[in-house]
Amino acid sequence: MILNIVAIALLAGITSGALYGLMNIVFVTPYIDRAVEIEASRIGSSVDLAYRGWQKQGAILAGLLAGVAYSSLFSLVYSYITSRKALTLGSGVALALLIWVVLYLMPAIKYPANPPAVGDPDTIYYRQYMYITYMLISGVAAIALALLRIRMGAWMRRGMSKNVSIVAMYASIMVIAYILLPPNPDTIDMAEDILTGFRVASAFTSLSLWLMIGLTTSLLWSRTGLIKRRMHIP
Amino acid sequence: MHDGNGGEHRQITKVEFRYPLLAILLLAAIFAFTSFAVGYDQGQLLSMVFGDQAYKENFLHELFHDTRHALGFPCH
Repeated sequence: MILNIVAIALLAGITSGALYGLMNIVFVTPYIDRAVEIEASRIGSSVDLAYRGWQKQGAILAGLLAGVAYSSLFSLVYSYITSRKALTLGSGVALALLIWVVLYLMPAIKYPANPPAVGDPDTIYYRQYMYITYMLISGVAAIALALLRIRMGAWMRRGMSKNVSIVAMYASIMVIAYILLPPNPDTIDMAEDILTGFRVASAFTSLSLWLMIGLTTSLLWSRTGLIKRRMHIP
Repeated sequence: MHDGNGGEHRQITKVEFRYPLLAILLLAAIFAFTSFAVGYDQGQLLSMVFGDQAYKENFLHELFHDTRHALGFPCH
């Protein structure tokens, strides 16, 4: 059973991650190429094509690893919930959408994704630290509020006001975090169309990755017989 | 279901699934390792094998470069 749970996480991660890698090559790489060209022309040199070729080759492998990473996280959350209440295919995909909002969209509102040539190498650790902090605030708040929502089931009767108050609490936490955390220290100097195009493409492929993980994990849990639920008749 | 006395009673079936704790630990370990490698490594992982050379080459950072940008992680 333990191995089956891990096998599902790996299978869902590898298949979704491979597709994610391909999607990045199609949708994101063109913007990265243009940004790298601008970066090279700024310092008066040409793009090192061999070097770029090497960076591009990593896209599938990196996609696979990212798929496995996010899929493990998704399986953790999914299996915890489904051990209490069986999830349908639709709610599995909705859960993936929710995690994308918490872990991608929220941090992106404060610290948007940037193509190469925008970030200052000297501030990389600082920016990573800020990004992780913001992501953690969003993630921990979401988990804490989800657990609170489960408890609330016993306290209150009306479901709608419970959901509204949970979302309102999450939103207030994120607004406070948005105000308190310092902005990205780098000056952003990049053509507007490349910047916007890159950010839209990044949001699109990462959303696709989460949805693919949600779909494949739900299918593997419910349709393959890898996970057996004991029928328990009291 | 008839209980034989002419009355009916509902049978409550509880679908049970006991969560193995070890699976949580394994998934968390896989998540920690892969997300660090793809999202944050600046030479640390390979420095265990190659020493300081790994920080200079920053092999994994460059290999995962484009995807790191695409995922929204900070990069240069």
